[in-house]
Amino acid sequence: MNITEQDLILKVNIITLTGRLDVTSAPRLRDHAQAKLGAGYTHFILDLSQLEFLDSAGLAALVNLLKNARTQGGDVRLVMPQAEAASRTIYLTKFDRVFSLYEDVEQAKRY
Amino acid sequence: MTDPSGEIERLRNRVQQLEQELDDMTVALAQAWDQLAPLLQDTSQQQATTVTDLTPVLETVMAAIGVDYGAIYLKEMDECFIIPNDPLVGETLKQQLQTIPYTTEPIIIDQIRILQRYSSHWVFMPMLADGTLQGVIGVGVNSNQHRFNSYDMRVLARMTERATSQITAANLAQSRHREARLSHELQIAHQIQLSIQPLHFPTLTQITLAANWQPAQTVGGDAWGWIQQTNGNLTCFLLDVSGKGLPAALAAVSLHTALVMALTLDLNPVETLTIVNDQFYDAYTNAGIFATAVVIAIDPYTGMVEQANAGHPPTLACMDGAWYRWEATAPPIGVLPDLGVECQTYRLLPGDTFVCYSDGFSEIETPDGLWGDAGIVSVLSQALTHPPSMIQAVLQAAESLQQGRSPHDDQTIVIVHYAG
Repeated sequence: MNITEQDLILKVNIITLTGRLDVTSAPRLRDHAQAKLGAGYTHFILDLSQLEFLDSAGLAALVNLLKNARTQGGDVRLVMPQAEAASRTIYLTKFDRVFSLYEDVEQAKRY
Repeated sequence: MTDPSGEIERLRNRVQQLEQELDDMTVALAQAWDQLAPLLQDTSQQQATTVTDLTPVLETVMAAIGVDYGAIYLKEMDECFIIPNDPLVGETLKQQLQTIPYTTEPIIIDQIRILQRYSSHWVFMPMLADGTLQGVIGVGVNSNQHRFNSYDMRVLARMTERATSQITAANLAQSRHREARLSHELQIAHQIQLSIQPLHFPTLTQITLAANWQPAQTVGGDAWGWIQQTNGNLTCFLLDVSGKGLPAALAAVSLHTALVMALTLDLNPVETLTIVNDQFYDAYTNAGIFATAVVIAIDPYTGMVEQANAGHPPTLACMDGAWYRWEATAPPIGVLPDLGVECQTYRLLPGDTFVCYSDGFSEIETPDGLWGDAGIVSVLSQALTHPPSMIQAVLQAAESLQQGRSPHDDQTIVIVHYAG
């Protein structure tokens, strides 16, 4: 019998968003995420815990990142916003069926 | 034998005399130029959109100063044009002009080496319009004996002013043309969008329907519609494409058409949303957008309702005097390849009402946070049997909350009352 083994080190990019993720700020997230994807990152944790507001344009930016990451074999995990105005949007639009949701970054890091 | 000191003195006087004559000629030339320049300004004053449009100006300044080269560099377009056309000199010059710091003062470059063979000497005048640097116009010579004098500078400065005014006029004309074209296109898009929103409401004794569609800008990502299906159901829908402006409007029109087609084929709400998700998933993925949509079919005779809701704000239903929320069961169209939307069934009793709206209403910001569906319900307690009045109540409340400001997002609302 032969035993072979290898260690895998997963590079995860943690992006923390504060304030509002809306039609005004969403393009910045898109550009930032695109740059990270271009740099080879495929796994992301988006810390939305301090996000105050999230609209459909912001959700579209999140979905865009998710699709691009999954196309490259990666994934996006969300740390849920504490603000009700932002978390409510995620639940009402059923994005809880799209993203893996976590209470904090440490929980999201666990494989 | 001649007196050396006398001869030196005589030559010195002669040099002084020649210098005086040269100064006089320079002044005379400058005065002649001052008279010529306005004429040049008036003739052939065309708008310049490219560096080649400025060729006449460059040729004039070269002839007036008597130089080997003339060059124009436009910063924004990063274009360099040189007379005589010499790609090698042009490229070398362009590389220099891309990096040098610009001021309002003339720029003198003493040596631009071309393939180590020879060097040229240049003076450039910045083209400034409203304090913004448009580029530079310059002249160059191969001989290092040539020194640019005040006359050269004056000619160059005058012609640079002229070229700058041509560029400014062209930029303004282009900008106005673009604005006019964009405005015209937006108006056409608005008319197309308006044309797909129903002008008339169904005339059924059992059901009263009223609606209002208001894009935040000239065009928007919201749309709504209704259709009487051959099975007798009255089916209405409301959709909201993420984003704003023309891209969202274009997506809204195509999605609206797809929903109408599917419903015309008598598909039920779940089938309808599933088939449009299948159809639009790739396109929405490429465009980086999605669309929320709710489709509700009502049997006028039994009051049975079927709803399919993909990521849209919950339908607010007042049934037997109590308010309920019919929430989405799937994410928006274009998010997942398999939509997985569920059919929600309810039974309306005579007197029941339901309200579909876009998030342009629920996300109105109030001093106490977002208006939300609770805010909408709070203004609907009056006249629950008369949808047009209910619509007016919501619009008035929204307008009051927005305090005269334009809405941030498209606002669409559909209200259905079931009389049985």
